[in-house]
Amino acid sequence: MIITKLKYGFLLLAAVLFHIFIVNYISFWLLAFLVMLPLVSLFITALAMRGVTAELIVKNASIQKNETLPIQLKIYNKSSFLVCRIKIKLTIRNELLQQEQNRTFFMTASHSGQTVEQVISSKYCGMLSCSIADLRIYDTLGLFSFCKKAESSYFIAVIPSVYPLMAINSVILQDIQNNAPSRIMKGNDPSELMDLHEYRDGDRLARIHWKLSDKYDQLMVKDFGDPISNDVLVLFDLNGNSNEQINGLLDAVYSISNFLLKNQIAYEMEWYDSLHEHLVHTSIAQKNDLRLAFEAMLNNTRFQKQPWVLKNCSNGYGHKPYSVVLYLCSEITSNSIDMIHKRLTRSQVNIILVSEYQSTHTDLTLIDLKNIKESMSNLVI
Amino acid sequence: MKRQIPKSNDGLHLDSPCLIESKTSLIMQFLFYFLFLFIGVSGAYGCFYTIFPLPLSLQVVIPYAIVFCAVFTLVFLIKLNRILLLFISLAVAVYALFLKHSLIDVLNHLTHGFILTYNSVISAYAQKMQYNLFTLPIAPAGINEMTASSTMFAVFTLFFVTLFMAWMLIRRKKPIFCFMFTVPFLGVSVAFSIIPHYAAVAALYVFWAFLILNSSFLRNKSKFNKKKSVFYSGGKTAANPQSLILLPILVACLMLVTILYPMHSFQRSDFVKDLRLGLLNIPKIPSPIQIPIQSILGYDDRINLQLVGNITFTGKTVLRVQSSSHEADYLKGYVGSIYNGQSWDSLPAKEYEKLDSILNEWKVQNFTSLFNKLLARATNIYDLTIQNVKRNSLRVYAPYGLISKPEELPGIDFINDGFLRSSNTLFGTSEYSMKATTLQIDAWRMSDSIMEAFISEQSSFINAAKEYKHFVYSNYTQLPETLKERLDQYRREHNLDIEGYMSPNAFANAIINQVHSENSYTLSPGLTPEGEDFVEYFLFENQGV
Repeated sequence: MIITKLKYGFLLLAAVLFHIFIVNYISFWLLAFLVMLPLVSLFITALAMRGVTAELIVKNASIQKNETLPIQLKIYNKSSFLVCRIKIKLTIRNELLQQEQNRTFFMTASHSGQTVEQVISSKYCGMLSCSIADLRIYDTLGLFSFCKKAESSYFIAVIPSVYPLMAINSVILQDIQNNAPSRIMKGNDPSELMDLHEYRDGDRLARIHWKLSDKYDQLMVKDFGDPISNDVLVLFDLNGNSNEQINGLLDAVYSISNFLLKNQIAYEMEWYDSLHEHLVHTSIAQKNDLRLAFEAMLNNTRFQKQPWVLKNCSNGYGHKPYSVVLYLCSEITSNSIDMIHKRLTRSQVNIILVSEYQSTHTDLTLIDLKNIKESMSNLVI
Repeated sequence: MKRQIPKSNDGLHLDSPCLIESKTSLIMQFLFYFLFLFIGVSGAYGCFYTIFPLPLSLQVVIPYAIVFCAVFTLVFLIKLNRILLLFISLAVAVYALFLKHSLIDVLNHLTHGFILTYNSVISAYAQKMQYNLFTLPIAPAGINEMTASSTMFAVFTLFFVTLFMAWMLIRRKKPIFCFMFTVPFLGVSVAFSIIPHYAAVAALYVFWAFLILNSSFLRNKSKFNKKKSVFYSGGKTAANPQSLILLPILVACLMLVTILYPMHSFQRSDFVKDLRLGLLNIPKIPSPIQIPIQSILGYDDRINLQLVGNITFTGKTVLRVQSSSHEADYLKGYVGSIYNGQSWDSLPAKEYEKLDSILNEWKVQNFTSLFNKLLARATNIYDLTIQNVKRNSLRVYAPYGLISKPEELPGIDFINDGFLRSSNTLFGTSEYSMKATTLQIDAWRMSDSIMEAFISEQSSFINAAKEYKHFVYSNYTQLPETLKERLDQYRREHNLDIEGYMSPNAFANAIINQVHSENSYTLSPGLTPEGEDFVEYFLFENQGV
């Protein structure tokens, strides 16, 4: 508005020169009138600004990536006076990726109102917060301005893409669905016989199978199985270097989550809320749970370099093993792999690396970012 | 909805915004633009036609102005074929004209009206400029015919002026062009010190103020105008009938100014007067520019002594004087009336009105010659021709014993009882000739017995002179109070008491001698310090002038 101030200053200077050189009341009349104009303008604006309202109207709370969404910004004025200049700064921010874009509008506010439709889309998933960052009301001459708070804001979730998983291991699926006991760990469940062997030092006397011992004429000991949970645990760390990596990782998590729900498999999800600095663990049994979980995650999580989920996961679960643990990340080190195996010893852990680069580690599954759809389709756990 | 979204690097894409217009009805848009246009047209035309003494029938012009404004507002608001609508409007207007008149009559009236208007304008400017400008020959006509012709011509031009303004305001939305188009209607006349009717000026001021206040959205046809990544709303949303509430507010502001500072008692501040004189007298401005500036912008009857400083000899000729007399004489360019410590000012206008009633047709500038004639003195009458070479041509340097009367000096005004000035405010008077006699200052004193000796025709002049003498003593002997006390003290200190002298002349000479003994004449006295009395500074501090 510096230009408007300069324009008024120029007009005033012209009027002053007119008054100096023209020896007549007419010149004073013009000068006095011009000097009075800003006061009139200020007074009218001060009266009018109380009735000015700005609001955002968004019809959808979530969209897909690259899907367009119109946002309407409506300005209206309940007062009798017209407010000729209103500056509105609309801010669209991706909370997950910390990206922001602004649009500034200069509008008028009348009784009938003015509406601006701004279409947005996002290439990456995340939580878009749309808000009116700045609402400034100028007087008609553009000399004075008043700031007014506009509390209108909306959150729009940009949902990750869903890729079909075609090649997932059916055995694992059966295990999950049949609540099969663990084939690895011994347990104390007498209903599940895991193994029979000859007596060894250290075996408990209570485990001696007396009938078989009598039959084979040597002491035989029975090992009981350890019942495992039918839940799947999906862990992920948003530790990518680029927006594409984060995006691909979330696509993978979301695709796997959808696959599990499609196959009526309840599971648990865990991630690290870097905003509030705590681990988040939630159960997902239906689509609504998934939607809520993702909305919370997209809003409160920032991508990070450290594998915070791995570092903090010992504080969460740990008492019962999971039939399948899926850990997804964009970067992994040998230490991370050791950590995950150490902390999830009684579970079958599958490490899925979502990256555009090949990894030197062999005990993990790679999802190629450059060809994510095919990679997801061929995903083998 | 799939749309082409411009790509950006950070993943967030924002399309070009779209303004969904508020539904301002056609009626409200019409009302807004009609009032806007009508104020502008009436202000501009009012300023023009109230300047010149043209006979005009307002009962015809005003309705036509309303009709033209309404029609053109509608033409530019609705989306039908505008050219067709304009053609229809023109046809209707022409038909209306031909209802009562034949084609030849109409053409004659228009031509006659044009000539009347042209001649009226030219005459007004010629009178101000004191130049003979070319006027068109016109057949004599009665007042009714002149009124009809002027009115028809006014309506004819009103059609095109309204059309143009409507196009600029409604169609093109260019407030700056509307402003520039209407400025000459006022500016050209004011430049020649011709002031229109204040109602028309007020309308024009309100129009300009309304243009300024609505300029933020009177942009262009586009709904959104993008400038440097900021989007400005425009288009049909420009017509905001709500802003019409500003019109009465603006009128009220003008009325408030008029009430707070009434025209009849308005006086420019001394600061503005001095600033103007200072700017006009900037030496570096070449005379050809300075003179018209001073001429056009008027000239003030005031001398600010705070600005009087050193005088230097430039070696350039400023006046060329030819005299048929070999005797020395004095010329005066300016006479101040009241000394207030820092300046010489004129008397208030009311005092000069009293003076006019005292003097009737006589001019004080001719008193010396009138007294000489009255007393049948043998005086030396001579011819004087003065040519202003470099100086301000508004000033007329006249001798104290001026014989030439006002009617003998065309283009020169006798300013009250003081001095002469060119009446050509634009170009001044560069050369003039007059008759004069040598100054004899004792002619002012006349006893009552001598007065009775004169016949009645002469008595009237003498009575006027006597009354003028009283006027002089009661008005021109005023001094600032502090200076008066100081001067009284000065007299007492130097034993200068009028009772100790034979005559006022002797007393005056004694004072002159005393001042000469202590103070000197110099061309470089320097400037009087701000706020100090000029005389006090000269007498007691600087001791030189």
